[in-house]
Amino acid sequence: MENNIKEVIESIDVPMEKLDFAIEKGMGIQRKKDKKIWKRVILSSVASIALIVGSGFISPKMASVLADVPLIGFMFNIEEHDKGLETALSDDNKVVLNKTVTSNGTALTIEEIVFDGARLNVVYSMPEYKELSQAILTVNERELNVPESLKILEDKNIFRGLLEFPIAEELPDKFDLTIKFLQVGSTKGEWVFSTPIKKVNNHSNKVIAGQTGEVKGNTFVVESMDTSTTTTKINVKFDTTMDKLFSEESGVLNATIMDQYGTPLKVLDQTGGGDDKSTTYTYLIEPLRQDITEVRIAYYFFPFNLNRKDLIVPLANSFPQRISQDKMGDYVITGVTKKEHEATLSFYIDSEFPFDDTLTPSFFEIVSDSGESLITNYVHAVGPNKYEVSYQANVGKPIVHTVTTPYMELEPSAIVTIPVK
Amino acid sequence: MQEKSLLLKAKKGNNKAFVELLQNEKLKLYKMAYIYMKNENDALDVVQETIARAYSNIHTVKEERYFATWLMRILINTAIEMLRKNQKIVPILEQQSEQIQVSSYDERLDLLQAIEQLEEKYKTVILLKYYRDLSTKDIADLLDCPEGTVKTNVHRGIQQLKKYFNKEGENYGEQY
Repeated sequence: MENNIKEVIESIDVPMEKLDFAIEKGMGIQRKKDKKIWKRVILSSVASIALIVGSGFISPKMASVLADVPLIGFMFNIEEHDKGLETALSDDNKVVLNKTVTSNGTALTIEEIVFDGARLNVVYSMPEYKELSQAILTVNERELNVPESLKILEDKNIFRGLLEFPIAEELPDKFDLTIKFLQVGSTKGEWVFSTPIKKVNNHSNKVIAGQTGEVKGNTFVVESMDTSTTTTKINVKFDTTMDKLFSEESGVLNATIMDQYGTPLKVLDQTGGGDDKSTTYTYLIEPLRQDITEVRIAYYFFPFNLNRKDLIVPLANSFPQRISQDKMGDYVITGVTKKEHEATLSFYIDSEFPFDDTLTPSFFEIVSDSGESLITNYVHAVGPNKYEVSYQANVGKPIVHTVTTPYMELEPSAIVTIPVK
Repeated sequence: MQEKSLLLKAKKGNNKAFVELLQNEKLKLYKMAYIYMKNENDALDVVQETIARAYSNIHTVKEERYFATWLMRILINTAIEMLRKNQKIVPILEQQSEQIQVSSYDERLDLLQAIEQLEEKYKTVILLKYYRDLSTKDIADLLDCPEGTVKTNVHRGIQQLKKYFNKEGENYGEQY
């Protein structure tokens, strides 16, 4: 009998995926194999909390720095906030799955899936919000190493979310996809969805890349740029490890991606992965307008420890109204327009520095006199250093809430230009 | 040597090194957890909690040769804590040990089930001795108890298993 004990215990089946998942959770991380993965946390905009949840790389300390953003209840509106995705979702190759899987009493429905070559988007729903474990994606039975982000589409009678998986590698135009979740809320189980996928028809095109630059001694090359009617994808490879680009010591690398006029392009998703030698960033940006002839990328660092201070200023009755940001230039509010119950505030930054599409690493919001956020549309660029932010009108005296911007320096070598026409 | 450097790296916060250190242990950890918890989900919870505790205390491991037994100790303590928390432990008195068997002879019984049914103190030493191949001294060190206690508990554990199978039939009888 004694001899049989080892044999019989060895015969216990091991659920390998779930075991690895438990180990990752035990370590407080949800990383996939091999690569470090991190995600951009949009500092001043959409559903930041949800984005942090899905991003294993960001340290708890960093997350706590970034999580002080309001707008938790912000709803993502595809038509308004992501026209490229709206285009993709209107394509015949979109998969309408509407499949519900119930595991250990918890139901999860995947409604739609769409793939455009640069990203895979999944619309899902459940009776109420519960955190999903990181999705395990397999393409033709091969597991993909991809990060994910979540945007909230609806959270009233049911919860509907939009998962986005940036796809850095080249995938075939047709493949068999499986999406698996191992935990929903506190319930462990298996929620598995499988479907054939066809890339949408989006006239994708490769732009000639290879441009090189250097930021604080770190050299980089634009490896590729793909344009389409749904997403623009840019891969930039740095000849250095990630800790030189994202850490307490070196600070946080950020990019402003803009057109030939200096107007920031909307970054939909930003991810990075690396090994012992290099780090590659993948940027998904909005489809390029017809008039865009070149795309510029400007790299710079901001401090990991931001030490930001609140700047709380009642909105003036007459404009311009200046809010000082010391060396980084003043915020100059130029006016407010009202439409029914919504007001839109316009401002620019009196600076040569090219701030990005969402004002990273700062933020700009409007609050009520009790400190409650009134934002209906987050701050976004409408021109070179020109921004708009929308908020609920007629809810008392609006108050501007922003923070001090750390000093950032742009080196001429850190700007590259990619001709697109 | 490589493992030692892995331990040093893990102690310095290198997650990859920590994961590599676990490679040889993770299956065994799960199987031990399963013996205690008797179901997959609870076993995974025990592993997760064990890893969490190990991860935050890795700096206390002095040498790589202690890593496996150190993990085992954490796992055993975690499993027992969870069982108590979940009130899944039903104390079984010594004189009742002949009644450890599952309720019905109609059910399919095997050695695995028999091990699962053991009292926790017997189960622990049986696991460590026959599954993890630890010596009596090592078990005593790990459990912080006299070697005599280990020997007694191993003996009683085996006796319970034998009684169980004597009642159940001849599945393993010929091997006693």
